[in-house]
Amino acid sequence: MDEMDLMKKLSDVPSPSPEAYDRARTALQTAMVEPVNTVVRPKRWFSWPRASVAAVGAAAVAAAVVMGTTGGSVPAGPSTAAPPPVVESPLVKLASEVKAAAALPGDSSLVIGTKTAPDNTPYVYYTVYTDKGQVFKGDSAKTLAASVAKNDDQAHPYDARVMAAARQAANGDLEKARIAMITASNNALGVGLSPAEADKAWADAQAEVAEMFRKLGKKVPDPKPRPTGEELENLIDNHLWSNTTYALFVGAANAEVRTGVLKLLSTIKAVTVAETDVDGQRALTITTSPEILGGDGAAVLTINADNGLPIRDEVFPAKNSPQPSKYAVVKYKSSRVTLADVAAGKI
Amino acid sequence: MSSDAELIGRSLRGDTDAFVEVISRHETAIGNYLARRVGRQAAEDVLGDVWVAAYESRATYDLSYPEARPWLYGVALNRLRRHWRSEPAEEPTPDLARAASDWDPWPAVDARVDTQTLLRRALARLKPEEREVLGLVAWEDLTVAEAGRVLDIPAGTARRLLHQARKALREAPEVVALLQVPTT
Repeated sequence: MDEMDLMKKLSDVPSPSPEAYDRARTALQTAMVEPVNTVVRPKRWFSWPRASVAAVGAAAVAAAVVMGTTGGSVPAGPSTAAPPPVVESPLVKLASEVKAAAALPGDSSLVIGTKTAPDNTPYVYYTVYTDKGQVFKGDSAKTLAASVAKNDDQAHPYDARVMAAARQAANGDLEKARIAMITASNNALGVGLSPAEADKAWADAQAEVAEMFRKLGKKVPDPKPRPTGEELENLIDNHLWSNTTYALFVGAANAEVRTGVLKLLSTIKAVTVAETDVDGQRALTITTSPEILGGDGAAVLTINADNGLPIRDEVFPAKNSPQPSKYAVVKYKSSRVTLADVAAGKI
Repeated sequence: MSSDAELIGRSLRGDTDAFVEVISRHETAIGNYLARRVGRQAAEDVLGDVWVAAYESRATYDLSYPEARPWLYGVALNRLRRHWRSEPAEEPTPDLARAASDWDPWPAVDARVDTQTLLRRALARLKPEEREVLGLVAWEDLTVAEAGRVLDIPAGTARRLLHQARKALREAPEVVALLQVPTT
């Protein structure tokens, strides 16, 4: 026996189910009939098995995320009023310091994330966000450089919207920025709309989901009423947390984006901020309640207390959940760079 | 029987059934590949995306290759990378650094050792590109040249990576221990 024989011992795994192959073919056939425009939205608490619907593209995710996770009732008129940021909030104070700090050289933000892939191998990924709004990605300095060299700008409209919302929060009307961030992927909840408009937005989203089921040849589920009250507030907070932290992990080393992110996070009532220490470095933890992540886990974002750069993003299982999330962590390192250096592999 | 390349060529001329035929030929292999990499559940989530991505990029297929399977592995790998990039932290991804710091070689001498865990730890220390070539050759039964095609690297480079990977594995303490004792 040698090392290759040992490797082969790892090759036996449970295969996908026959139903999964059918769903995948259906997704292909749907795409063949009508190619789906990609809309990117982080799948914060969504899972296909829970929604019992085949993946037909991220556009469908954006629509189905509401149906799959709410099951709620209709808000008469969504509450959009942001809780005013607490003056003493360490996030607001830090945002002011970040904004006032001298601009660092460079024309781009580089964020290096390290996580463990599902096959337990380490996975490092690089994201460059230029001050012009381009996004380049890679699995290594080499593939990142290749992406820049090919001008393979991977910024989606969603990226532009969350970054614009963050910048608006940094420089302008925080309440408007908050609504823009909440609705960056869709506004099925009708946030910031009149009651009549909100009703229509919800009905349109329901129709979109129904259409998706029809295309897949599946039974169209009964329409669900819009969520209201606490459920609605949790969903709004979920969108805000999800989209805001996405902006941070793409463009952390852009001071304007980071300032806006900190201000927006300070408006979420369901997070708590505490001081901590990471390797001798002053840091802040920003902790969500499990409710705004679907109830199965709580997120803890740790940032540098002096400059607001992300250090790590963790998820801890919720004690009272029947299906608690597993512990997970992504570690971040961010810096200012020039795109020319990235293209030359000098990072 | 038409080659994969011929079917892809037909699909480019509007024959969508021809592309479904290509997928039918390779879906089990690609499904198992995904399951080996990310587990059954995530594989089921990603599989449809792989077919859609393959369909959308079929115009880039080099029709001089009659067999499409290596190309489909490449598409699947790209989707996996995108999947890992886009997945938020709250996906169930254990902290490898924590596991590695707990590493103690002595339990490996125990005949009840968990082969999979130990071998995965050794694999985790390989360079990503070494691991990719090794996995494609050992698990997917591809030739070194085909693995190079999947990864879009020259065959010579793939050969060197495989050599490095096998050498590093042979010298890993976990593998040394596993090769010396009966395993479960």
